[in-house]
Amino acid sequence: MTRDQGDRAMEELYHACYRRLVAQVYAFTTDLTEAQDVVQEAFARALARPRGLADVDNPEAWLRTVAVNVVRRRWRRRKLLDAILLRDRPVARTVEPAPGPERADLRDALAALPPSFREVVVLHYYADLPVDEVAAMLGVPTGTVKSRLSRARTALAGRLDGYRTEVTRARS
Amino acid sequence: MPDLETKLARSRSALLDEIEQPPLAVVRRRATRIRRRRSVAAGATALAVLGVIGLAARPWHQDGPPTVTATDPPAIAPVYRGGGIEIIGLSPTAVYDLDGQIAEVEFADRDNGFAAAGCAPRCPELARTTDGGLSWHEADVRPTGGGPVDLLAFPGGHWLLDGDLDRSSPDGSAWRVVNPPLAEPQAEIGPGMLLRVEQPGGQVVVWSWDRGRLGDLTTQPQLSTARWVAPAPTADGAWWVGGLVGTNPAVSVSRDSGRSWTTVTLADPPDPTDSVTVSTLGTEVYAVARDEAGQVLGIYHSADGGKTFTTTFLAGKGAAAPYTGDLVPLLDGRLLALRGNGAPSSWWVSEDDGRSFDPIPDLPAASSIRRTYAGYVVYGLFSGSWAAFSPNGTNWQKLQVN
Repeated sequence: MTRDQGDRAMEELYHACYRRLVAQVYAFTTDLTEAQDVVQEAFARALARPRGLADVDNPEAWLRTVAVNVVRRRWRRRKLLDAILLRDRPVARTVEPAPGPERADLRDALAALPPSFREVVVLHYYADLPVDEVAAMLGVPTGTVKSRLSRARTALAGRLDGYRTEVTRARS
Repeated sequence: MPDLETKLARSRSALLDEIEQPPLAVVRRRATRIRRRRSVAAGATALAVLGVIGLAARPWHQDGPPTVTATDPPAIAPVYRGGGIEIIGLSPTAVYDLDGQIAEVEFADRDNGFAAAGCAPRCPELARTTDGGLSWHEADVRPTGGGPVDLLAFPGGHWLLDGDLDRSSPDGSAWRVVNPPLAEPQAEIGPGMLLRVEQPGGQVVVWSWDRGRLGDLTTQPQLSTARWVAPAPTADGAWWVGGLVGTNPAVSVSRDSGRSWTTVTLADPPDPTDSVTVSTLGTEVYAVARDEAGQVLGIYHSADGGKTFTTTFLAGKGAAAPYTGDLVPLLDGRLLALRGNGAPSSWWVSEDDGRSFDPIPDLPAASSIRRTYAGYVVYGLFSGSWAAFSPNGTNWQKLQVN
């Protein structure tokens, strides 16, 4: 593949997958700005490879893996820093999300869920991944994902006064 | 008061709207910084390694035979790209011989699938893949008889082979013969079940992977006749059925597992409609009216999950558009269609919801696309008995079977 073809392929991949990947990474960060930064970092690392992603079977999966690893590494660093610097200080949110019509309640409620619940909800409902793919991505059985989804919906409904839950079958 | 599912769907749309996508040039600048950092680190490492080697190699001693440590470079499959579509070609590994032309390929998820050859006159064994079509082997099941067979993937990775004798498998490995129960009306589509349409009556029937045909759905869609049903529910659990109301094309959708249906009648093309299919991606819904030859008479687009449809294309009398197979809504908002052996390309995309299509150059010829449970299969690739699978219509993997 020539350099021009490689550049074009990356342009197309960036156009096709960027938003989808951001939505998936948002499951792990709960911060949209950070999710965008992490996905851009993943694309930058792909562009920095000598052959781009020409030798990768599934470029989108490669980018997702890199992005999730970046999130985890940053989280470990942050935890270490918190332990060193912020042990006795109240934890303050440094980035306040801009208020929006759907953010104020649902996404705040979502961010307050335990990570294991939040991840399945965001991956399934926001990133539009079927249950089996969520299971594969998180490395847990499909039944676990379904159970977490069900419990997460109940927890969300509890946090959102006035919203009824509707028991729906998660798509497999 | 909206339910939680609706609230989540709205929140998802709001999230996607908020995502900012900078130009790729911005990311390229970031890549340049990464490359610089790496080259500095590599330079430092190389100096350190040279120092260590200088001491460890002991050049004053006689060396033994050199040890080969490099591995062969990985075999890379050719990749065909055009218009944002990518087809990864065959790898140099062996191609499984299906003992006949590919008649049907079905995937239950991104990895697990089966390929069947036509029965002429006997049915060869099915071929099975567990790695997304990169390698295939003989399956432990073989259709019997000379009639048509239908391979059905069910939720949860279950399978049913519908032929003169039905066989089922929980995971594609071990198969057993199915003895269908006495048919009874089914109040709903239960978990793990699918719908099928029976002709000539057009009844919508519920099937289970381990018991086969269960019976007619109690509440049928309000269609004069159903002609098509989606092979799988949509992401939000909706079931779509296409058919006719009188002579008009129409679609019906159920969002409560088949207990009730909402029907929308679509604009009638000048030529008689034979079937109506539906393609969906999120809230984007495309209904397609076809003539007896499968050519397109009308395209109808809905941006609100199917509540309202706009006619984006209506063929004139005797002027059906020669697109074959299912239309594929792509993640970037375009609509993909195939023209069997079309010129200048088989691959066409629409950026205006089906009003007009432009050819994509540089992609191999193909005959049609068919939706499977887990994605799409393109047939007749390279004008031969080749097929490729894609979970999203954009990234295709040519299947190592022929």
